[in-house]
Amino acid sequence: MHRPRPLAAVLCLAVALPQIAAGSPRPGVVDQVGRAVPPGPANRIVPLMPDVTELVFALGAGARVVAVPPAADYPQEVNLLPRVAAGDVEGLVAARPDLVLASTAGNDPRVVERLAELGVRVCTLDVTSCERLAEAARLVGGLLGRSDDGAALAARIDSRCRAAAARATTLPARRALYVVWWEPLIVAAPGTFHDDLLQHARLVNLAPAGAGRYPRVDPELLLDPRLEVIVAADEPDLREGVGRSRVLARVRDGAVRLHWLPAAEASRPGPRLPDALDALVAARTENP
Amino acid sequence: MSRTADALLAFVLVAAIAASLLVAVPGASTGEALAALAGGGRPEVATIVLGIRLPRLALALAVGAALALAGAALQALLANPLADPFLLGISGGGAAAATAAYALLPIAALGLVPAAAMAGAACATTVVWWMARGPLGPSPTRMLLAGVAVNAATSALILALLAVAPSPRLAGALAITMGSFASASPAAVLWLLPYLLLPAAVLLHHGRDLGLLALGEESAAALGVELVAVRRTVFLAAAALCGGAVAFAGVIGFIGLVTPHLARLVWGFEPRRLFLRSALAGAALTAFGDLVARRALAPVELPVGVVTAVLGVPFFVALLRRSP
Amino acid sequence: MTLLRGTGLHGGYDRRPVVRGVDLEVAPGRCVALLGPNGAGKTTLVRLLAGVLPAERGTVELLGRPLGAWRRREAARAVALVPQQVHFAFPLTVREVIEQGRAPHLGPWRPPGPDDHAAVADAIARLDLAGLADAPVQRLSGGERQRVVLARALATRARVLLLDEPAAALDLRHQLDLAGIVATLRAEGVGVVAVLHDWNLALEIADEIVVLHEGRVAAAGRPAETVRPELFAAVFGVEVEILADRLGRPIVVPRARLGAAS
Repeated sequence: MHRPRPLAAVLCLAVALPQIAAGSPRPGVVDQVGRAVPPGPANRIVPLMPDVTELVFALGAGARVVAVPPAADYPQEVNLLPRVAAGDVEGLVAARPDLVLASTAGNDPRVVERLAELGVRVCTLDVTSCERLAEAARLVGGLLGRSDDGAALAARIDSRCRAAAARATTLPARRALYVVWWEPLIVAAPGTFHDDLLQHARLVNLAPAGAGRYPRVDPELLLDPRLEVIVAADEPDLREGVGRSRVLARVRDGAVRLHWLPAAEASRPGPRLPDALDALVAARTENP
Repeated sequence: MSRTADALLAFVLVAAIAASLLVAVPGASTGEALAALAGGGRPEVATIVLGIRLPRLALALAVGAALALAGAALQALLANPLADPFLLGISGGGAAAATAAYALLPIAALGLVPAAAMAGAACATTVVWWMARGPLGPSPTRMLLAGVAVNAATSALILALLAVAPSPRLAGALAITMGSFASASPAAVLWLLPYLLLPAAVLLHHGRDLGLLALGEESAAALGVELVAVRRTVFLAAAALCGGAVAFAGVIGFIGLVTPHLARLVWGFEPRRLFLRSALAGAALTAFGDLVARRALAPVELPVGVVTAVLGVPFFVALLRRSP
Repeated sequence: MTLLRGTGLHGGYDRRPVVRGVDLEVAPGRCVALLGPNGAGKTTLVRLLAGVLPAERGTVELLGRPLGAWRRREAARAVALVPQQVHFAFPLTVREVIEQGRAPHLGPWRPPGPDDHAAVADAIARLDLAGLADAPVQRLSGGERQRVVLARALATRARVLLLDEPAAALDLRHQLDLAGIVATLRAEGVGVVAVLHDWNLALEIADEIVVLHEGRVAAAGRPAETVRPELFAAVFGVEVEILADRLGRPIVVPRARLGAAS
């Protein structure tokens, strides 16, 4: 469970003093970044990122979504809904949401803070692993009044991830990198959902820890002799980028295996993440 | 002439205020927005007009006034019409500290960013002060040189921070460097306004002395200015205004440089008249700049520092062409 | 009663001593001309007397009280300084510059009153600046600017006027005007110290001449007494001829250099 560290709690208190003075803290649910979400209805939902959008629809509450972020593209129904950008505070307020769902995978914390100050109910998700994804499903399910659907979705996520990990036990453990961008070289570090995908597929992440979630690293890391596998999302920019990358030669000789994952599923920590995991394990099975 | 100018200033100020508050509220008409100001109207319109736009406008007005006043004071202090709150590295120090805090602090501690910015501005002020010290107070030439050095160092630091900032924080970190009023909130305004009033009052009190300082240090001392004390006080007050502005709005250029010039062209040189009107003109210009920043490419928001630069550069060119 | 008295003054810049033990005093209605070679310390002495530069040793007494005991603004009402060089960084008008001369009387808040306007108008008239009153001072010639700065000092209506090379850029006509102004000031009881290079102008307007050389007083006294060829040879390294005009007043005419100037 994500518990706020004591120092952060003290700082939190110091910063929150004006707000505490303004209104007493109400009992409620705690979101994945430690903020309390006050109780209330969830009939006008606004998700701020595509991953959270998919989650709401997967929980069967799609009809209650009143606006979606510009990048949302799944499921199809989102195309019929008005778009509001995460940074457009006025637009968000004008949509009169009673629950806003944010994600650390891309939302500016200041905007979330601002919305909370204006009295909007905000819940921030911080999905850094399959386990946290399942937790998120339960959390949001609870907030939407669909706890059963939340529990069921969480269970499905858990079982699929475990099954994929079980299939991967027969694969050789290899050292890998999850590449988010080739130039500059940006990789997924330990503690991200991408890293969790690698771990479930029996890959050891070579990216450095302690330098942030998606650090920009020395491109020579691609030439590290320990590197055996590269995983990336199958997007046109990344396909094109590998052609200009220095690791291309080693990929061609087969020294480094390159696995492409379906872009939408792999790039966002949403309910289709197990699909990306299945694809990774399948790709590895074909080319262990 | 100056009566008309006063009327024009009042008009521009009121127009900027009205436009910022009432124009293009999503999902509402101007009439509804007006109703919200009076206390009625739908709750979400009230939230937008009073909870989002009003604090933002207040911040823009306060920051604009602070920067213009600091600019006018520094131009007099340094007897140099090209002086600007930036030039002395104060904004750089504040921005570097703010960027560091914003990029590196955990979410729960982000409320400390303005405090970090003020600390950074104070550090930069101390460094410039120390480098520029002399027997008659800080010397103008050395202050400018020290400012150049501090600016270079803080720019490098900011770029390094931007390179390592985690991507969700990048937009916010850039907003500091390019100026933005998006983080305005009632709490921010309540912190900033009293903080700005004291240095502003100090500068207005020293208006006459500053007018004399602009004549050169020998003349100023001969005409009764306590050089050391006034230079120190004015520098610190201008630095405080600048630090406060950067802390809540990031780096916004040209207002501090251009507004005093405009004001001098219209209202002449007399310091008390000039300073107050510079401050009001700075407020109006900044509010107007923020309006353009929000509406020009709506719904995408431009950084207000970019807008002021774009508006400021042609003015600056015109100024250079007509100067003797 | 002495208006301004400097005793044993030592002062300089960056620890470099320029003035090394000078006494000078000026009484009401008297004009002291301060002459000497370049670098002798004349400007520094004037700054010490004005209180603009702090003295390292020695005292300055203004109206009987030590200068340190005066508040800056009070002192500025009593002593007006016309610096040698003034740079105008901002496009002020002539009138605006002259109005600055009233600043010591106004303090931070008081707006100018009828007295102030009268003083300014008087200064403008005396310095023949009526036609230029609204011109931007940055566009004036060197001589015109000198008159503006002098007018600024006159506007203060101080009891002591310290002039640092007031005639350096003035044309003949305005040099004559300057002489007339000094005469009027003396008649009004104002004490004047004027740094000059022009000996003949000095001889015309001064009651006392003080010659500085290497930071010390080389000669001081009534003009007729100080004008001796030996002085010019020793201090300026110049051979001069001293003539007399039709009123019997001495005229100094430099003739030739003598060896190496000291």
